[in-house]
Amino acid sequence: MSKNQTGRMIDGALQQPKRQLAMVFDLNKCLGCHTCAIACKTQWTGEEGMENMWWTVVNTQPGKGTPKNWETMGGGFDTQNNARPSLIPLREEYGEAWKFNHKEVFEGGKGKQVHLQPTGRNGKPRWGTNWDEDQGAGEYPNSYYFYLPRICNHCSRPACVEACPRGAITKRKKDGIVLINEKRCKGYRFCMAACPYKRIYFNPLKDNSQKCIFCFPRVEKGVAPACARQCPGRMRFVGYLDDVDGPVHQLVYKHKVALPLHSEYGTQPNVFYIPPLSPPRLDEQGKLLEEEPRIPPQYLRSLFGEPVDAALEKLRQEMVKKQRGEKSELLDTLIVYSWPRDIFPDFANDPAQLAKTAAKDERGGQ
Amino acid sequence: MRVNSLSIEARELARPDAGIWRQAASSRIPLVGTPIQMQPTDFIKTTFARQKIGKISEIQFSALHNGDVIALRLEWADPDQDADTDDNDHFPDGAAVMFPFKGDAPLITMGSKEQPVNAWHWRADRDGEARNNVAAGFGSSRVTRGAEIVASAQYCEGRWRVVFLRQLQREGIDTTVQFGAGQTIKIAFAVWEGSNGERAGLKAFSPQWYELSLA
Repeated sequence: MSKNQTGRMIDGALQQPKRQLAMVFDLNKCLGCHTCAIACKTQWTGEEGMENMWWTVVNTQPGKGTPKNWETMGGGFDTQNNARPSLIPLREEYGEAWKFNHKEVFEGGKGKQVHLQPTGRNGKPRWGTNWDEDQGAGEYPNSYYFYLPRICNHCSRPACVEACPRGAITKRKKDGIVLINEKRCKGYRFCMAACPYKRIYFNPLKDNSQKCIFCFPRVEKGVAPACARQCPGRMRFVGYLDDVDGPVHQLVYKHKVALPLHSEYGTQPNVFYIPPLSPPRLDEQGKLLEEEPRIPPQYLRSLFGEPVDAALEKLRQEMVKKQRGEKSELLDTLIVYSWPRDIFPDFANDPAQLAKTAAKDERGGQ
Repeated sequence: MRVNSLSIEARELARPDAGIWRQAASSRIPLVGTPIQMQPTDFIKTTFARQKIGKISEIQFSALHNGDVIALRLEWADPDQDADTDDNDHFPDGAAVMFPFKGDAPLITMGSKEQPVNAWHWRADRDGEARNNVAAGFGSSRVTRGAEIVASAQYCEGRWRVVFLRQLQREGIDTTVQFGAGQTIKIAFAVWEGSNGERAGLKAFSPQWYELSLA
C-alpha cells in the first residue's frame, strides 16, 4: 500500500473508519466573537489543570496564531510521507491562563494607584491566546484580516495516532473521531510534537495530553458539538462526509468550495474552510481596483492551496446569480435558511429538550 | 550481587544518604541507550534518529534488607536536575528497576505475553512514590495498586541518589514480585535523563539481567 492512501496501516491492515464526521467552517460568516471557544470551555475544559486549554480557538489571520507561530513548528508528514521533525509548543506559546492582581487592587488599598492587570508566571505576560487579535496585515486603506476558527482536525491520517508509543490515541471506527484514551496516555507528548496543527494540550496535573473530542457524547445523542450549536454566525456545518445530501458533502465534494487548511501537512484533515471573500483594494485616489481583492490571493493560497482561486471564483459567480434573482443551490446551502436542520441535519437534537425528557423519565421511574 | 541482611530500621534504609549505605557493597552497572530501531513508532524513529539516547552511562547500585523490607539504592551523576513538568517540553528525570515474574523474560522488550515483567518506576516530580508497573511487551506497561513501594530521592552535588523500599512480601498482591531470604531474583535497570527529552522507551538501560541473592 502506498503510504498516502487515506487511512492507516496497523498490523498489515488498512484501518479506515466506516464513516467520517467532518465540519465545514464558512469564514465569510465568522464574527470573531469566540462564543464557540466559550461554549467548549464551559462544556469540557473547566477543570484544574485545563485552565489554559482552548480546544477550539479563533485566530486572526494573518497572524501568529495559537500556539504562537504554530505554522512554523513542523509535524505531520513530508512529501515522502515521513514524519516531519517538530517542536512541542510551550505553555507561553499557547498562552497561559493569566492570574490577575485582584488582591492588590481590591484588598490591598491600592485601588486608585494600580490597574487591574494580568500577572504572568515570569512577570508581565508577553504573549497570550489571541494576543494579535484583529491586527491582521496591510496598510490603510488596504488593511485586512479575517478570522480562522481552529479545532482538532480529526485527520484521516492522524500524525498523533502514529506517533504515540502506547497506542493511546485511536480513530473511532464508527465516525472517525480521534480520541486520546486518558487511561493509556502517560503524558509523553509525542503527539503534541507530531500534530502539525498544534491542537493538543498537556495537562500537567493529570499527566495527560488532551484535545477536542468532537463532543462525542453529544454527537452520540444526535446533538451537534457545542461550538457548532452555539455559533451565533451559524458558520459551522457538521455532518458525515459520505452523506451526499448533507451540506458538508455538498460543500466539499459537489461545489468544491470547502478546503482543508494546510493540506501539505499530509494528515488529511476533516475540517474544511469556505475561504474568505474580500472587498476590492483602493488605489491612491481612493478608486476601487475591482480585480484586486483586499486579502491577497497568494496569502490564501498559502493556507488553502491552489484550489482556493477556483473556490472564490465559484462563490463570486454564485453571488452574482443570486443577485440577479436566479436560484443558487450553493448560496442557499451557505445561507442556512432553516436552523438547525440545514446546518447539521443529523445532529439537530436540542440538548435542553433531551435533558428535560431524561429528567421526566427519571421522575416517572420513581 | 548479594543483598545482605542487617537489623536496621526501614526508616533508616529509606534514607538515600544514610551512613549504612557507605558500608554496603556497591556494583557499577553500565547502561546503554535504547536502540533507535526498536522505538515503537515511525515518528520517534525519524525524529530522534540523530539524537543520542541514553545520556546516563552508568549507575552505582547497592541493596540491603532487614528481614521485613528490601531497599534498592541507585546513584548516578547527572549535571541537570529535572524535577518538574512546568512546561510542555520539560521531562523529569526518572529511574526504574525491573524483575521478571518468572524465568528469563525478555529484557529489551519489557517482557512478553508469556513472560511478563514487574517494573518499579520513580520520577523526580513524584518524590515519595514509585509506581508498580506490569508489562508484557513494548508499550504495554500498566500501573497497578497495592505494591506500596516507597521511593526516596536526593539530588546533591550533581548526583541523584534514589532508594526504592518495599516489604519483602506483599501478601495477596500478584502484580508485584515477592522476595524471600535465601532467594535469588533477576534485576535490570533504567534511567531517564529529562533534559535530553528522555521519556517512554527513550532511556538508558542495562542490556542484561543481574542476579540479586538475598542473604
